[in-house]
Amino acid sequence: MLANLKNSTQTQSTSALDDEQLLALMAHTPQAANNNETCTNQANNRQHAFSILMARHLDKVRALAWRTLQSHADTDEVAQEVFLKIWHKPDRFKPGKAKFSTWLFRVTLNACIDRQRKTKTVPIEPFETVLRDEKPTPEQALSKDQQNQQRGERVNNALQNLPDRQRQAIILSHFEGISNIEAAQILDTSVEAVESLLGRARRSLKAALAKDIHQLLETGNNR
Amino acid sequence: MKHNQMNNQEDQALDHLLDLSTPAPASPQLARHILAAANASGPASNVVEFTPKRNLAKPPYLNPDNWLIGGLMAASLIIGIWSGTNDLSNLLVTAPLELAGIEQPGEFDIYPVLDGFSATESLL
Repeated sequence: MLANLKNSTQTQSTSALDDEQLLALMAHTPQAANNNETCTNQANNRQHAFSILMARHLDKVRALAWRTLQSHADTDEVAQEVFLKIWHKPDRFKPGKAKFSTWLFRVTLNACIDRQRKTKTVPIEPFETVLRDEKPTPEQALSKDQQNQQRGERVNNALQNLPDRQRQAIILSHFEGISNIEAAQILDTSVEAVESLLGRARRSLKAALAKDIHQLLETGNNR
Repeated sequence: MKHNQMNNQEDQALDHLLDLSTPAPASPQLARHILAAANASGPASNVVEFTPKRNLAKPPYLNPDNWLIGGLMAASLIIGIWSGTNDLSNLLVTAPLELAGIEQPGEFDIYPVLDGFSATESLL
């Protein structure tokens, strides 16, 4: 495979390689350059391959970490942690077992879980409290952007109040657009369990956001 | 039928609401920062494993390593007891002396030496 890879790198630029080829290239080249010219070129190729992988996947990793952790600082730290692991151990990805993106999401989610354990936050108040304490706002007086911003914050709260596994399932399915089969691989569970998690998550979200849903249905503004 | 239609409308409304949730704030310098950290970071051996701690299986109490060490200890104990009861240790000490011609076979006994007598004294 390496021989093929070397040939392919000679005939096409590094940026034309797919994710798995980039990882293989990284796995077979030294991390740091030395005095040898060949090694220096290989190290540069490695760094270029890494940059391409980051350009392709950094936003997805950050989006997943953000939805899971809801903290800007933690999001960036998790993203850095994930990509530094790829930099140091690109051979940890085993082609054929799963797609690179599936593996990457799993690594990211695991990093988020570890971070949540380290910095366990204060539990967020339950749905009922959120709904009861919601101050009545003169919706008509707000612009559409302001309404959407407020709704976005309420959605964030509702998502954070979901149990971890349900939140992870809805993030992967809705926000990352991942199939249930892939989500099952990432969450290390069965497809049926993912479907069940999604069903329960959506029911909880509908209950938590009932007021907004009804408003949208009344105004027909759900497009 | 009407119930299903209502459910579908609610699902669509929920999807719309989910799309309104706050996206990740931009972090334009992060990629450059990660690249710099990668270049500056130490050897790969310092990197922690991918798997979170919850997935690490606890090694079984009895595993192949334990069996090997336990087996060697048991074997050495058995050999020690056996050699102490059939004069093997005496044989091991006297054999080189006998081979060198210093002592005649059967004349030397290790036990008086261990008791504080020399080999000659023990023969007297």
